[in-house]
Amino acid sequence: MTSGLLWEMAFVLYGAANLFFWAELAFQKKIFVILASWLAFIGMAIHLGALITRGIQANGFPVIQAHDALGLLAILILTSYFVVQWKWALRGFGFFATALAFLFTLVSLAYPGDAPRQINPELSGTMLDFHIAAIILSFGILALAFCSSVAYLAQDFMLHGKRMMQLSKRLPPLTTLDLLTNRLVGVGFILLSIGIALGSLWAEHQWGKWWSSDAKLTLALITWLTYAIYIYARTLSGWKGKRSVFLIIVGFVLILLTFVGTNFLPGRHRFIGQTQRHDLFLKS
Amino acid sequence: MNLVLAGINYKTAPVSIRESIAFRDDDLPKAFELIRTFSEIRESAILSTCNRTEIYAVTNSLEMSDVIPEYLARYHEIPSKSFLPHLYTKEGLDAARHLFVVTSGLDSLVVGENQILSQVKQFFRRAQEAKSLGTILHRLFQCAILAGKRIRHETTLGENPGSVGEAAVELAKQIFGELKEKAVLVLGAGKMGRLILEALTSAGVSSPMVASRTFEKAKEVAEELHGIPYSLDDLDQPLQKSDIIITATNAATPVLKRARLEGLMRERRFSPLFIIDIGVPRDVEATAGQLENLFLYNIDDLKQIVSKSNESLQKEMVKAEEILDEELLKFQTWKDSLQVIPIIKALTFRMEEFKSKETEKVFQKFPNLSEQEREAIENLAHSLINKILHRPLVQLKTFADHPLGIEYLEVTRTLFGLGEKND
Repeated sequence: MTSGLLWEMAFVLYGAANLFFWAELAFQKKIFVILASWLAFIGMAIHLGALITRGIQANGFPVIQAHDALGLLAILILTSYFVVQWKWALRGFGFFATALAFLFTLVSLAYPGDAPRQINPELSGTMLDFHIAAIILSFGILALAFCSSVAYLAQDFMLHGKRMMQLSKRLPPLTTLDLLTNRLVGVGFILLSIGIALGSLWAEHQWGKWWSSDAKLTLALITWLTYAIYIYARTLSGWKGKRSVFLIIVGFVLILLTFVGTNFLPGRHRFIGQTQRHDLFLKS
Repeated sequence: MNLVLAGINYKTAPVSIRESIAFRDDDLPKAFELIRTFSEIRESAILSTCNRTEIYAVTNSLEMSDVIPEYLARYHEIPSKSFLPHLYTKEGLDAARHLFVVTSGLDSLVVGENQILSQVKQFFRRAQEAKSLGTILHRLFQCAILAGKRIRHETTLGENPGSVGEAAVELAKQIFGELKEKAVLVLGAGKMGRLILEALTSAGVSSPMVASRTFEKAKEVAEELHGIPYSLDDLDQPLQKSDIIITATNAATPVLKRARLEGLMRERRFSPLFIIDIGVPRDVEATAGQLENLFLYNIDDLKQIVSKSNESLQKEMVKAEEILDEELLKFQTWKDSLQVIPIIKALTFRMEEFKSKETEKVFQKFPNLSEQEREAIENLAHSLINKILHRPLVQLKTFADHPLGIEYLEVTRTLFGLGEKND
């Protein structure tokens, strides 16, 4: 079985899981959650299998293509989701997590991966692998924070407007979502900081400079600042509720821009693959 | 002699309209004073809770349905067109049935809640004190209260009176998740407020802070609820500490204004605040509900959350309706008997009964009486009864149009034990 087919299977499973989570919200049958969770879990496992297959073929950490990076992001969102579920057992939250995983996988399919290629020796090394892993994991966790923020806004909308109270009961409580967002951002922010620091160290080691003005780097810095502001606002000035949640949404949009958008801007962090501009990447 | 009813309730009017024509307990004497100036109204009773305001009256003629709206408008000094679209009116047996339905909690926000029964009793007492009840309303309220008691005892409707409380707990859980150790503040403590507090307490909130108009009153309530008393003038500290506030004061103007809550939210750093306002008129300025992380629910909102569709509930409803119809029939039979012709018939029948019974006794004692003697005795008995009945019967006939006719008829019935099966 090719990794491409596995990839598509994972995509279909995510979609199905999301539908069952939706059915659970609509009909309140426990069986739907169980089905949905298993579908998402199996999808995640298959997806991981596909990614590892590509890694073996590339003989290294396989995320230099947008296709793989987006896939890894989807996997990490779901992993974080399952970890959260294991500890918090939230109702209705799977709907948001699988929706996001599904969307990222969809986009990854729109960036079809080239055959896994041998990684440029200049771009290998444990530190670089950790840099990439930490950043993508932080993006996954921050994406999950975005999910809980959206769920928070939905819950707030319903509770404030006294609308759709039946649905409101099926989503996690407002305060829980607020707290979850806070925790996720905390962990995500630390990982993001580590990731950026590792990248910086690696760049110093490889190219002799800590920082270069690259679109992705600049955006990543702005993203980092946004989350830093969130944490400051939460802990020191005591913001709670919607206003802080909006920062998370802004942060997530910045992540999307950093992650995918910068592919269309010049800089050394461009993914290789579909655009066939890996030469540029390698030249820098 | 007509029984009429006009009112609005939570089904026909939003809380803003309801509070505009609600009666405060303290104002009832004044309200009855005004109602007495309406010469068309012979008997009256006011029922005003947070869910409804209804006026029951006995009027001189059927064309009196405008009288009550006019009274409401005049008493509350508002144009009647502001509430007329929400007003329902009923007459005769329909009106009577309505009070039965209300009293037994079948018309309540939470079907079967039995707080309404004690409220009806209380308003019955108030009307008695104001001497505004006549024979008909007096009997009507008694019968309705009896029906309410029977339904409470013979069905399980009253056993789950916590539904509003449950709805509040559900909401609190949607906001806070775990309710353990959440701080509750109760402003004024009516029965509904206690009901909600009870539900919250069993869901794990910590002992309540209780505030009342006077510190003494607060202390009294707090002792009962195992809480900490505060005075309404000294709310800053309890407000800051609380996560959930139940307001149920009798105040005429909002106790918690938007500006104050706005400041409070800032001081609390926008940590969520859940306010359940069951006061009518409302205790919390409605626009405060727009504030961030402040969740303001009033009685109307709770109404929508309490779901009533429940199979066993339906079954009990049927049983309750049966009891209600049974009791209503008793009232109807009584009321029908309060008319001149039936009373005259019953009275003469009763006398004829006496006559034949007593003469029969004499005949048995003296079996040897001649035909003539027997006739004389029968004639004596006959004319005696006729003489005794003559004036009462003439008088009774005039009662049909007499302003106090119903009362006299009732007195007659009681004096002669009419309508009772045996002597």
